[in-house]
Amino acid sequence: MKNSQLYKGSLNTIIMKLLEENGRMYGYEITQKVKVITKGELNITEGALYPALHKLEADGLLDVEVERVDNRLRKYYKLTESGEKETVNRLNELEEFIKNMQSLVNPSPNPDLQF
Amino acid sequence: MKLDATQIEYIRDYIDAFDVKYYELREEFLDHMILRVEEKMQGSDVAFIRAVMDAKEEFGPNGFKKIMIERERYLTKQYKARYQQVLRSYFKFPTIIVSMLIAIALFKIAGMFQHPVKLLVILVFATTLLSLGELLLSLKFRKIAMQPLLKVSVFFKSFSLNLIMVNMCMSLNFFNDGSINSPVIIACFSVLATVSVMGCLSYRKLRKEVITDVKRLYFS
Repeated sequence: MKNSQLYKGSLNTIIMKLLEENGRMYGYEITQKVKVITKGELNITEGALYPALHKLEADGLLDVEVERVDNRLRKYYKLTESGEKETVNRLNELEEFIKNMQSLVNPSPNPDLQF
Repeated sequence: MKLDATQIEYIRDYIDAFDVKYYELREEFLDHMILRVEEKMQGSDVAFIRAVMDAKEEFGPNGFKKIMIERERYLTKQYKARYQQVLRSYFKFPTIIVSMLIAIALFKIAGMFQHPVKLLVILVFATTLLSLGELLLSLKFRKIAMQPLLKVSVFFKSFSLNLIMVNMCMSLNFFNDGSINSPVIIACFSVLATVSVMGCLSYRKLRKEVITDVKRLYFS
């Protein structure tokens, strides 16, 4: 993952957002989707993806379905009802965070602070 | 490109070499590895073995094992939280009325006997044995294709040790001389016996949930 430390805290939110948009997805599909959306800039490693998916599942935010595809099992993840609500909250938090970061990186001159 | 059956079998054996002992995880890793290897070999001259090793690299050093241990930890936490949630529900309105009535009934019934505390200890002992029985019942679905199922194994492991310890404590108590018969002690043991009965019901409920989930995912 490029700049992995910057993305690390947002991995769960990224996964939840993708599941909100796509309904249900399997692990490999998530890594590919992220790669396509970010034009290869962000590469989620399997070592980070699966613990995140398993944690979200244990927290009751994700549900799983298993299907037989090409004579093997494929595990699909989808948001639960509480997962859908949590996605909205986390996206709001993330937007707020991005806004704050933008203010810090590119501070606009505040007339109140001018002498 | 699609991998053939021999190549898929090779990846399966490769994953097994890393001691991935649970069916669910092995199948999930297998599907992921196959797709990744197919992607790596698509339109390039990367050798199959190289592609498998590269695909494994993306799981990180000790990746399979690390993911497996974390999964066990999350699941244990999930089951313990769910157990506490179910148990607490018996002590919330309106169910608490039933729980209180059971405690009062136990107090009254035990008072009619010569050794009331001993009687209540036997009851706690019996209910913890029943709870252990509930855990053992789950083991009927512990394996699929000769491999242990993570959810059932973790469910059993999360609670069995605690229950065995409670049972041992209760059996030690059973051998006391039975002379402690103050109403306060009897009341305390009545509450303990009630909690134990509710605990047993909670294990039963949780066991049914786990098995229903496992059946839905892997036995349907």
